[in-house]
Amino acid sequence: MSSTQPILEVRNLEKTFKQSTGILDLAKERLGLGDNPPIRAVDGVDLRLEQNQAQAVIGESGCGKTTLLKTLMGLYSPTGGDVVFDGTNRDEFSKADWKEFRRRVPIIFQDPFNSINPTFTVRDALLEPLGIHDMKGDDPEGKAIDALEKARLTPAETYLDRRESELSGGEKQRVSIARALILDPDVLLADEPTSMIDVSTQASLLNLLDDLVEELGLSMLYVSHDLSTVSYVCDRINVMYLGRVIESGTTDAVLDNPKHPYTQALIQAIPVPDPFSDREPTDLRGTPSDPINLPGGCRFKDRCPERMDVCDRTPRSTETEDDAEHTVACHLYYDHEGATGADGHATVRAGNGMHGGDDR
Amino acid sequence: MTTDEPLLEVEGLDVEYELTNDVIHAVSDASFTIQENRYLGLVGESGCGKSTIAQSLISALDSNGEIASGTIRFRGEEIQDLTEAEFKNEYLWNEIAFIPQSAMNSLDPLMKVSEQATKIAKEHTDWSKEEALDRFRELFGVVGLPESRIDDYPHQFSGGMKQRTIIALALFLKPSLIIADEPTTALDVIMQDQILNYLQEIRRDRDLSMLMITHDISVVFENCDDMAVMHGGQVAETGSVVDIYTQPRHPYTILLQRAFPDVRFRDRKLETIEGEPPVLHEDMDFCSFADRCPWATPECRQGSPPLEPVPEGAETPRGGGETAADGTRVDDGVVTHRTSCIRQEEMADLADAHLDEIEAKRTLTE
Repeated sequence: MSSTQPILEVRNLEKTFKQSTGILDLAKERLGLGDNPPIRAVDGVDLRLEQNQAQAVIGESGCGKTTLLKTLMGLYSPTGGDVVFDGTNRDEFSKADWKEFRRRVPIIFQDPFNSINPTFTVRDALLEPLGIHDMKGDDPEGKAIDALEKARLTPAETYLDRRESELSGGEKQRVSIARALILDPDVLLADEPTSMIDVSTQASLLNLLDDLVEELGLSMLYVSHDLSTVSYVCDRINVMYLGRVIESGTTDAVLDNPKHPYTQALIQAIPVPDPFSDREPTDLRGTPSDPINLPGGCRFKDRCPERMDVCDRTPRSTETEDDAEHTVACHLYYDHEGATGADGHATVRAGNGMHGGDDR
Repeated sequence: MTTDEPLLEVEGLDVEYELTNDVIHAVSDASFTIQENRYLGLVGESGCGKSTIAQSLISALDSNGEIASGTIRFRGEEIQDLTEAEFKNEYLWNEIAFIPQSAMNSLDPLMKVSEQATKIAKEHTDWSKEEALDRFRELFGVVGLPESRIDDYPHQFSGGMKQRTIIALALFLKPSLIIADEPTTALDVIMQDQILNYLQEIRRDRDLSMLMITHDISVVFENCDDMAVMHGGQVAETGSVVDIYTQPRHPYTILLQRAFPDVRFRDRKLETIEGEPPVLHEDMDFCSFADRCPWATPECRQGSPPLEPVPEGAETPRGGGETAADGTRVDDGVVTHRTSCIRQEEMADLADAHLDEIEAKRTLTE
């Protein structure tokens, strides 16, 4: 056990969905007829978000990053695994605990254009959460102004009476951030907060998020598909592929020294704003399969240039040689021969609890 | 191959949209040229007029939009006054193909993709059905799709496959110009890389020019020969990507490059650009960037800035074949580096001083 307790910890989290909720399929299922395997959107994810740390979850569409975020928010209840917030397992949460959790862990959505009530003024939007959490106090308007200033909307007074339609995209996203900050949170969940914002405004939002973590001592979980924006804000990066975290490490370690063949391709594919760049295009082909009825073993094996026979067994997350903080789930990085037990990977995993006991 | 006459020449283009009580000046006095066998990237933020330009090029402006003045010449012929039907008959697919912004949704869901191809061939060529199918099959190979799947319906394809199908259709009748409006924006980064790579590969065996419209300067720097940067309906700067990278002379271009995240230099603090692009209600007879520009002077608001050539810089020699790593981007001086900043001569020094100033401020606060 490490000395400090993480603010948010996820252990072996799983979230599966039924493929179909149609009456025929349900009937078949009841009768034990149809084969209707679930969609394994999040499949054994471990995360440890420390106090005052900004961590990213990176992956392409369909990798499960949004499902992970929604499960963390409590919009989905996990199929398996644990979410531990500030030392308390969420399974033990009372209704009051949940309310407190929502105050301390707000979310900033991807689309600022549809996440603010258009009939509200900025003042209404900011005071609403204060009312819900009984935090209005003597001077709610002062709190609203303070939150706007923290989100760098100045002079704050001039924003209070505006409506959503009178704000630009960047300003809307700042109002969303102020709405999160007004509750004095511990963790910000951010779902691609700059992907719908223009470049000129995106830079100032990234700088703002970076400053907030530093100045207010917040923690942040930042979900995105865009490695280059994430690299400006986050201390750590987790790379997801088909429901699993396949590599995790500090931003520098992952970007400068990626280990997993998928991470390597992902980084290589980022275009750089330089006509003299000698970046070679990635030779990775194809797209990830649907997370239904996946074959056992490594999820990436069908596209992997390094595929070996052993890839039919699920790789465990292993520390890289030079860096205990940098883990990768790939057979290339440990002596899988020596670890092979009578029943394959079960022995490999003994004691570390990654990904559960079986693939299916 | 490269003749003196540009393939596409846009000159002084003004496009307006009529609203109930208002006129939006979406594009003001825009000029740029695309040479034979060159790719031009048109970059800018949302609302800067880049998609409006694409629509005016293919006579497909919304019904309340019109080209108020200016000319669009394709191989010397003026095409700005053509109706949509005339354009379709004379130019679309044969000469100019269009890859729309929502390419994923622009295939007919009720037709096999092969039928969509033969329909285009029937309308625009005298090829037999077999010839058309053979050619389409060949193009599937070019864009990296299995040839056996030309008889599939669009829903049987993934997003990236649909995008490649659209590219195959765009190449189908051997056009000399492809207009691609954000061709990879909706795609994941690995798929984007594959598609951009195909767009590079197809120029190896044929003469092809492209107008690539995007908000992503890294895509332009890597994939285009020339570029035009737009802000608030005006062309701020145009020239070869090498010129604009090495000696940007418009404040917007300078700040945009410094604001753009670059995964290689992530310790650098990103530059921010104050304010928002203007809402183009009034006649744009001033620099549309003036309100956001750290170097604006009163003159910047008096009269629309002309797009003037940038004299060859002393610090970075231009032209005469600066070659990028892949060997394709040679600045042969065909496209003149021009900017619409009236202070362009001072800009290099001002930009450097600005950088020092910011650095000093940061050191102070830290």
